[in-house]
Amino acid sequence: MEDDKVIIWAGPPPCPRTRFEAEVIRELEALVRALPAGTASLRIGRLRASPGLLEPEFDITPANPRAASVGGYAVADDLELVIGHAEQEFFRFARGGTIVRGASWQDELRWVWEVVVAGGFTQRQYFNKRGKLVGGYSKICLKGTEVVFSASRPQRLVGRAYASVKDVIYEPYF
Amino acid sequence: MARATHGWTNALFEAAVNQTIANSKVTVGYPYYWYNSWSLSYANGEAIHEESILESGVLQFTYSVAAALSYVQPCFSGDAFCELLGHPVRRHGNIESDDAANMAMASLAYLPLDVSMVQSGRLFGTRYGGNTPVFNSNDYLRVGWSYLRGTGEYGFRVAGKALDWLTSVPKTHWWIWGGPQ
Repeated sequence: MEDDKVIIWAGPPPCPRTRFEAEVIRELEALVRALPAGTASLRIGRLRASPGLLEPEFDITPANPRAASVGGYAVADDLELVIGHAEQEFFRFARGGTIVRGASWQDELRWVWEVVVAGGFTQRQYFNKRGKLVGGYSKICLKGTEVVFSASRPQRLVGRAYASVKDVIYEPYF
Repeated sequence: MARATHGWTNALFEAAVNQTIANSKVTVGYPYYWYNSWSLSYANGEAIHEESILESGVLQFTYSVAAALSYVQPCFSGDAFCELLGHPVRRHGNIESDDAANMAMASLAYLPLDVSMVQSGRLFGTRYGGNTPVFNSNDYLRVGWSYLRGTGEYGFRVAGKALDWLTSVPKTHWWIWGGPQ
């Protein structure tokens, strides 16, 4: 578990509780290492908000600042995945909770990764009154099925959602 | 449901409850049995408190809800120990038939406490640390806290495939509190 330029272990290492939590990290390591050298780096650590928890959190930062970053965490058999500033929870991802019917979670994760690496997709980003970026909305297509990544306030039950929006087109990783 | 199994007497339990009541100036409260331990949820002014006065590791105590309620003082005045609606707790009830009602009341009393526990709540908490929150572990409908990496905060949301009929966007999260803002 030594750091290199591609995989960076931050702080106390996570201690995966389930097989899925460990396998997600291995899967992401393989995806990032398969990129051309210097394209992106993967940071692995514990949840930054609660370092006392042992579940793994990850961040993939592309060298191209206009490409979309990828982050998230795995807990039990769930996956939280963030693309740019839009996030989505995949419930029971390890047990058939994929969007594409019949797909394995490894396949679906790789398909999302390929879309992100290829770039060219749009993300609507939401800003609050103080100009702070507070969420995003992206819709990507995986094998003919639309997947929405969104953590934006338009989904709230009450209250004004946002002050302004901006559409961003992410570039390829390389 | 287990009865007193560790040599605890009615008097000891009653004394423990009374001591908690005296120390906290309880005006309304409700004891509940949860995961093999006894707790007392009570209101003090505007605050809602929860005391695990009889946690199994502390006082080695196991009682059924109904059995334990029968040891609680009846509600005599504003300083007595009452049900949520202010009615006196029955001192000598039908223990078996009261169990379901008692558990329902206990669950209601526990709800705000569990929500306030955020990630570690047993009903609405997150799944971190091996927690399996009752309403936030289901595969098709989840109600409870979720950690948002974007803001680094916890939000309370309702989500799941069971709600997909409400919107044209699948996997929508309905944020009730917190969330992106």
